[in-house]
Amino acid sequence: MAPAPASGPGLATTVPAPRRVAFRRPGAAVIAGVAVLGTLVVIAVVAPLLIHDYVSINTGARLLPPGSEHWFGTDHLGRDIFDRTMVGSRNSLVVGACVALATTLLGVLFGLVAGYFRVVDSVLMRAMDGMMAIPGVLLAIALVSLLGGGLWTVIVAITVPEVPRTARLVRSVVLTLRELPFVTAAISVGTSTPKILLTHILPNAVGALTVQATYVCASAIIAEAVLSFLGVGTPPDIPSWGNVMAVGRQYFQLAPWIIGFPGVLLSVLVLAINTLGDSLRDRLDPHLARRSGL
Amino acid sequence: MIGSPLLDVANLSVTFGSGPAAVRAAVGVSFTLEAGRTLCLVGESGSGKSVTALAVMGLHGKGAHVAADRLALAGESLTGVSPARLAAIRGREISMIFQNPMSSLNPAFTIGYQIAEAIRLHEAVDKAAARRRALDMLEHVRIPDARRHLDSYPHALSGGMRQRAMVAMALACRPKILIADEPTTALDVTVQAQILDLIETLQREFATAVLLITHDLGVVAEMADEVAVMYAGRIVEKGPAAALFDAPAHPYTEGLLAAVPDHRSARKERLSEIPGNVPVVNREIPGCAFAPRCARARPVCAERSPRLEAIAAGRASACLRRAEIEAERAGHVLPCREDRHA
Repeated sequence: MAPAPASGPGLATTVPAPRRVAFRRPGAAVIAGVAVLGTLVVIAVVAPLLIHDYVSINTGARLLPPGSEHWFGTDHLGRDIFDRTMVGSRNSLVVGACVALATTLLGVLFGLVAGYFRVVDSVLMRAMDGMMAIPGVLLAIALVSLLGGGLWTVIVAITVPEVPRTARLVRSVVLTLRELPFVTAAISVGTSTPKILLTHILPNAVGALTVQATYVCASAIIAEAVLSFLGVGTPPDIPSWGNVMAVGRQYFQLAPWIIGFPGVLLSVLVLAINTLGDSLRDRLDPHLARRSGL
Repeated sequence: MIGSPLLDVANLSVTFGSGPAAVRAAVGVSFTLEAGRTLCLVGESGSGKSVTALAVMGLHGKGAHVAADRLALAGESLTGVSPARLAAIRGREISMIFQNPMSSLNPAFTIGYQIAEAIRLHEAVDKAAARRRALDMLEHVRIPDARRHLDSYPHALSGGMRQRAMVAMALACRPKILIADEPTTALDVTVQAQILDLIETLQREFATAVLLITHDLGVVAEMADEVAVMYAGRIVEKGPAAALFDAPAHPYTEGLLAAVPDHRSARKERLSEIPGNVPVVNREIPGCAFAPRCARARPVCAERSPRLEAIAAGRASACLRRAEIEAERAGHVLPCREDRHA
């Protein structure tokens, strides 16, 4: 009889520990989305450190087309569009991230309370309906005239009409989850109501919330551009994609690059965020996940 | 019965809605449960078994109105206690497992975490100690390779394993009473037997009283010390399991027993059934609620309401024609299944 081998594949009988989510190779769209978003985040962080002069006026270099000296051309005051666009990306990303964060926090608070405590539900949700009825642009104009334009005014103005959507989503998730047996089971072993909400209901809503946050982020970036374009957003001394494009509107026929470059970047960024949101949803939604055999 | 019983329920009623459209899901339900004993609540769907159990736990929803002359756990009344006290009682004194193990565990946490949480709700132990206790409980409920499954998420476990984990969670703090609401209905037959066996073993080990809700008389025969048969929200018969199986004193119990398929019978015949459905009790039923479906019904049954009356030691039945049923049985040999099928 041959001696048994000292080691072999037959000996590896240990069962792998169960993992939370099976790893799946991300698709090309996700890789592209991550690459775009990552690049723009790096630009938003680095550009303001490297580019200091994005406001000085150079009348000798007005409305120059893209070239070796001014990659994206110049505007009607001779300011470099590349510099302004790169620096402006910070504004867009900060607004997007802050609005997504603020909306999620407030939406979770209102949604949890409305979904679990039926007494306050109708009052709270009618208030949310009221907030939803406020057009973001009008609110921004009102806030800017009251408080003066600025980054925080813009963030507040965009957050207010977005909160009800997230609150509604959280409420609907809570209404579904609160009836599930595991919540009853948790109550039956003596779990208190705040603990039920925070440890049994909220973690099961995280998937839906993350996805919602990406959509809120994308739409906030667009909203910021719209507000700046209308002149009620970021003040002109801070470049943002919106106010660069607002300038470009007047010179569109003479110098389409002013509106073109920030516009393209805006579209690409929003597309990247939405793509990531969709792929997150596909992964986190248990129904879709089950269908794809997770 | 010595002293005050562990669980004492007297004249419990559960009503949904109000006014003329109110549905009386449980009416005048009374029973007691002694330490270490098993009481089975039996009946068809809609007979009020689960509602009764949920009311005992205080888990009935906001829509249900619960009233009782007495609802006491080890002498402490459960009606009108503060939510904080109720949370302290649940899990510590009285615990519950549910019908559907697939959705009774939180999908977002490992079963070890959930069992440890249940312990930490009631006892001041640190995380590591709670985790050791959780592991100990998983071994008690005989989950194979417990150490590994401590960190398993519910979706990675089979139905039977999840129900074992539920049992572990419910019994983690050694409650005096375990309420099991159809704990095996959603499981395979082989797994059913294992879970019932597990509950029985742990019941002996921890001296837990079990309130078992089921529609499966096979389960009742295996588990029950006492049986309470419910129909349309009322207890129609109760008594020690053996006596009740030998000589059912209510036509509904007879019907339920007759409806159990008998695999020993060689004849391929239509299974015995009770015609009709359990009525929704949203109005005062004159007479006996079972009368329209009862083979023994007489005109008087539709007029007078039977009361639950003692018929022998520890036995009670709510049937106007009880005396006649008994007389009939006294004249016969004990009816066995083949006789009733014929």
